[in-house]
Amino acid sequence: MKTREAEKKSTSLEGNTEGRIGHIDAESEMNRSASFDRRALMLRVGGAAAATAAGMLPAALAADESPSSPSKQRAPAPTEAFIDAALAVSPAELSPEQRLDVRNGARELHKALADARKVDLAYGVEPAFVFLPEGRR
Amino acid sequence: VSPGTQDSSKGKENDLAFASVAELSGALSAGKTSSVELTKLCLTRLDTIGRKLNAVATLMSESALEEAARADAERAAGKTRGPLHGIPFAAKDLLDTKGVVTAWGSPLFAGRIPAADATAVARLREAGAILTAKLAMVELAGGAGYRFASASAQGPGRNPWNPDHWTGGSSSGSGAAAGAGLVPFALGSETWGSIVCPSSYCGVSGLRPTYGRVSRHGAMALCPTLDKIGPLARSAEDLGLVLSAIAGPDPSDASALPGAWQPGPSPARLRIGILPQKTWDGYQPEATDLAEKAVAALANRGHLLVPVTLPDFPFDAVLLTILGSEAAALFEPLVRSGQHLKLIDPLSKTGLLPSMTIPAADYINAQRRRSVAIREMAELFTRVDVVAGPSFPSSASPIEANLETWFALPKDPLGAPGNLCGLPAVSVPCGFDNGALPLGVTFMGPAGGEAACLAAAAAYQRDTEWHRKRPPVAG
Repeated sequence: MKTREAEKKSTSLEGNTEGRIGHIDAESEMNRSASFDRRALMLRVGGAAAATAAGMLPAALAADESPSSPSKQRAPAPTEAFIDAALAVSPAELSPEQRLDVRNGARELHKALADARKVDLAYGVEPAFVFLPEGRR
Repeated sequence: VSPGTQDSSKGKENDLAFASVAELSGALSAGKTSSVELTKLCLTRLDTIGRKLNAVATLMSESALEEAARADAERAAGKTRGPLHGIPFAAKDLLDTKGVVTAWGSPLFAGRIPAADATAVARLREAGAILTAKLAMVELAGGAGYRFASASAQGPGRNPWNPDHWTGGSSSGSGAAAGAGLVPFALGSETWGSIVCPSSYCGVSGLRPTYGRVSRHGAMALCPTLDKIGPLARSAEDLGLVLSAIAGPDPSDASALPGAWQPGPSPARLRIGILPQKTWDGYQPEATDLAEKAVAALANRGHLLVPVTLPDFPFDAVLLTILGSEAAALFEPLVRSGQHLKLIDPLSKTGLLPSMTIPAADYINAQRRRSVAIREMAELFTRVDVVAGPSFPSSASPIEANLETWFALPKDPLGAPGNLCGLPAVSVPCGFDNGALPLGVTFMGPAGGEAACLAAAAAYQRDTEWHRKRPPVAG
């Protein structure tokens, strides 16, 4: 578990601010129960993205895993490595439910990366970076 | 209470509260009202109706009334800054405001007080508009993922049309404030869906500008190559007025497009692209039916409907790769410090972790594939001026709904290519479902094509009254 000092640790996210990161005392509100009927990719911004992401998972796969059977089905090795990496990036201790969310999120993100890779790329295709001189794209 | 019904005892106040920017500007010019009167009305509505809807992050009563008094004094002295002079507005709590808490929807940043205004906010103030409040939003604009509408420091955004339903996100307070007549217009932001979704859910007009049209300086960066700032308002006309004020180059944002934006001439006969019916499989039937009727109404006015298909391209997957990579990079300190577990929503607590592991090659190649997508979408827009379709798969979700399962569909046909390619879109209300919840139709244009999107929306609104309906919560 984190210490109180760790909880107060600032990040570099404050940007243009004179403030500091506040303290959360509503932990009880965070632990709401959740159903796991289907899984979503972990990054969703608007509701549109939420709907899209959840729909990318085949229902059969989504039904395979529950908090009570976390390892009933193992993903293929590359996906497992991806999941293990995702579970290792934070120093925080995760609950079983949170570990399951990470597993499901990593699995779905891995699938999205695979889908994206299906687009053939000619060698000369440049990235669509936007930070070019004079702000021009 | 059916949509559009209003309490006649508050008729005058409601008429002001739901007047358009153009109408209010005319009333101010004619001396029929004052900026102070309008600002007081907005502050009262924000503090009463807005609080009930969980739409308000910070009310700025004192500064707003001072600014309104100055605006009235300038007008009395013969100085008028333009159509937004003296018009109240509010901004999503993702946009910096000098000396006023800007917490990004999260208790983690409750003490964050910026030293300067975001460019978009500063430009509105320069145009004479009066900032009345910072508006609630989904925590970190949803960048860590979320499962429930309650993923906000202010609690779940409650929909003006039915408070037991959600406003949509992540610009939740902006949708509620415009929808409930709390302010004439609000600023929101969209990385993927965050303007269009609340616009559709709350029955308001919303504009997602071309990427770079509006400076992102002073806005929380979720995904720097995808983030856009845009208005939510009563009408397409009002959206254009606000865009004119906030668009333009900014030395502080290298991605800001050169040149000011003004609504240019649009074709008298718009070419409106129509996607195959199967595109909308899984949508709420009323969402597709009402959007079809909206497009048919435009055809009846002489506009041309052109069948088109979208490029066969994994827009959603490429977009998620970029969004995940950039959000993980921006919020890496939260992950490395373990503070991600202090985010509100159960899914947000871990949502950033998988994206931290995306290989650099996948991110770079996603940006290369984005170049391909941009070219293919640009080719589509040589044949049409806009592409139309339902704004969202359904009307507003119940307030307690699990957002992972509510109308979860495999693709976002307009939103994914639109956001990946930085294309503008306008969503306007086009009717109600049988639960009296609003639905929207979206007009998406080519990069730089805001004028065509707004022209299509304005043409539709000239012949319809959906954008003038007032929700039961209006007071």
